[in-house]
Amino acid sequence: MIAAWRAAWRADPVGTMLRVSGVVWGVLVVAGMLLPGHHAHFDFDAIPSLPALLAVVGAVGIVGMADWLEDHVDVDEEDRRD
Amino acid sequence: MIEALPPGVLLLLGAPLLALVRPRGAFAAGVLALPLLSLLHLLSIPDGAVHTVSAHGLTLVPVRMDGLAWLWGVVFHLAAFLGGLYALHDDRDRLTPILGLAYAGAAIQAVGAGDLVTLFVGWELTGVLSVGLVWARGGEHAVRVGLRYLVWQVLSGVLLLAGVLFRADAGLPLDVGPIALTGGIDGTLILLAFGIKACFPLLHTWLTDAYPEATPAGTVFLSAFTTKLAIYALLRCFAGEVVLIPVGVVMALLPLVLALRTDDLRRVLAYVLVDQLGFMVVGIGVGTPLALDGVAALAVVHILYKSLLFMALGAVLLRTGTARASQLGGLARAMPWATGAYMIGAWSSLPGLAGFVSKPMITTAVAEAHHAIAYLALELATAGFVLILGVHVPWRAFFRPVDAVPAGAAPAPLAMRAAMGLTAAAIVGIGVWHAPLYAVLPVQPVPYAPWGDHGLSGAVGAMLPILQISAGAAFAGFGLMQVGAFPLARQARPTDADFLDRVLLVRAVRVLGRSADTAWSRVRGAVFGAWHLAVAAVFARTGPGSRAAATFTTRSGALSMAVLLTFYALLFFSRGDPMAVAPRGHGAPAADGAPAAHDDGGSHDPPAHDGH
Repeated sequence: MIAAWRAAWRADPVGTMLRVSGVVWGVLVVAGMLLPGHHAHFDFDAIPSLPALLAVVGAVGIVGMADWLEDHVDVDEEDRRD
Repeated sequence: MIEALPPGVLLLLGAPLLALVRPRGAFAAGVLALPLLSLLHLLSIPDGAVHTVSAHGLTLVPVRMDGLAWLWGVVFHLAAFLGGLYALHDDRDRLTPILGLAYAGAAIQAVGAGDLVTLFVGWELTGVLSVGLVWARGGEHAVRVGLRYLVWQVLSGVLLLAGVLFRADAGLPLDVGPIALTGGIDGTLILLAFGIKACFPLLHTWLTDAYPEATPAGTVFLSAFTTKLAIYALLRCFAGEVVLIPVGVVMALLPLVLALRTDDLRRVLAYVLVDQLGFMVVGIGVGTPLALDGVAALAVVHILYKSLLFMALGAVLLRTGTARASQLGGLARAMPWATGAYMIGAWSSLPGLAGFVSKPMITTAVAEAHHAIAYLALELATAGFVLILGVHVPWRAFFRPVDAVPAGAAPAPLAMRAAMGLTAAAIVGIGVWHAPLYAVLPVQPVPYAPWGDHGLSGAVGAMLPILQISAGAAFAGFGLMQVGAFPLARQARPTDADFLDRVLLVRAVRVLGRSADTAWSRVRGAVFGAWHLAVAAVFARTGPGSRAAATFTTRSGALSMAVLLTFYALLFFSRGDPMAVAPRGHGAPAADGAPAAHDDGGSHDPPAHDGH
């Protein structure tokens, strides 16, 4: 198993991490749906595995915002010298 | 007697004396012993102790010890010890540990203050002493960054002092306690003063500007004290102020976006530091017992894991000479201690680590108080935290395959490894056994059970949210990398609010300066033009070559003199008897030497003859 991991890592490190984290995330999403729900404070809070969905939305949103900033707002560093 | 001594004063006064210690071993022993000695002093002050001093009609309270001050004091001492240990890696740099310990002493003195005036003293000292940690890096750039940092620190102090004076003028109490934002400007000024050091939105640039520019050990010291002192002050004075909730939400979200725009990984940590302060500010705004306990717990834990993260990247900077993500990669094998320490700090929200028993207290309190938007925002911010610290930074610095590992990469020096090991052990220890931390939180009993209340199913239910968030953020992060949509910053500094003061303000001043210069040139041109015209006109009439300057011939001169004399003679004889002499007492001195009477200007009758 370790050898397989090493081989996969050498071949495609990002893809390997993507597959591992994807599997873990999927298992946790399913676990969140199967396990008894916690006490919900809001209507939306009752959605099963909400944190798992929020994490993906949040990560993509933050990266998207950063990308947008680069295209529209970033000022050349040379302009902000001491 | 020693109980009346303000906490932290031993550090504040003792640290400069370390400069007199020459032998290397004795110096190191002093750096390590001083925080412990000061901690013993703090522990000797009984709970509830209050010592007052009267000066100039003011009653000052340099010592006010209660649970909150005790907790902050103990953690600050721990941070001072760990920072001092870390700083011993460099024998040549004695300035950093000395300044760091004195800075810690100032922060502890401020924590022990019972009145706003004494708090102000520590508040200013932290700013003045900590700037030395930036300057200790050396070079013109560090000097300029330090000056900008100092301006913000002094501004914070000035606002605090102004607020205190307004309160004193209004006859309001000066104790470090709840302050109302309504009724006067004093509360707003003090909140702004605290807000600068707590990195409120638009007031945070001093931190992300200066912290990454300090020495490796300097940044470890800096990350521990100033911002947590501000959180302490907010907790004391503004707990339950709902305006802090939106402020904290912005703090929790926006810096994460900016963190992805910088190539300097220590600056990334600085932005994420502001994000975590946002969680604390939201908790203070919510103000429920659970929220306040959560703020205290997160502040303690944050000092540890943020210090650990800065220690790890400080070791990278020391060995490779850079903290730029674009120049790093593949360091995990060459720097295993730094990699391990970093991963413990970055993933400290996972079950079994200190973040797990602290940060969810705040999000739970926000949910229980039914602040839906703030709750959602904090959940998103947690995902961003994991994405940046747990995926982006370790991937770029430690795990990313590179053709050649950066030159100089090697295990960190012993002092760094010892400090990182102790800090990591504290994070694991609190995560595994949280009871000692919970026992010293300000609101007792702590209304929170991190592992749930219902056995195994409760524990799984308690762990599931953070596990889902962590896995989801990692999944999204690697997915974006795989499709090439993860932005790779090229600049060391992203465009931030300092764009307002360092670019727009500078440009505005330049435009104003140019306009004023043009206007002045025109005014000056007009004035000098008129002056030159006037001088030229006078010169034409009186200068060489003018009629006035022409020389006379002898004939015309004699003729002119004759005309003038004739005119004078006519004038002289036309005034009556020209030989009349004024009588004695009217201007002429007396023959016997008596003083002449004062000439009253000729308003008398015509003088009579006296026989001459």
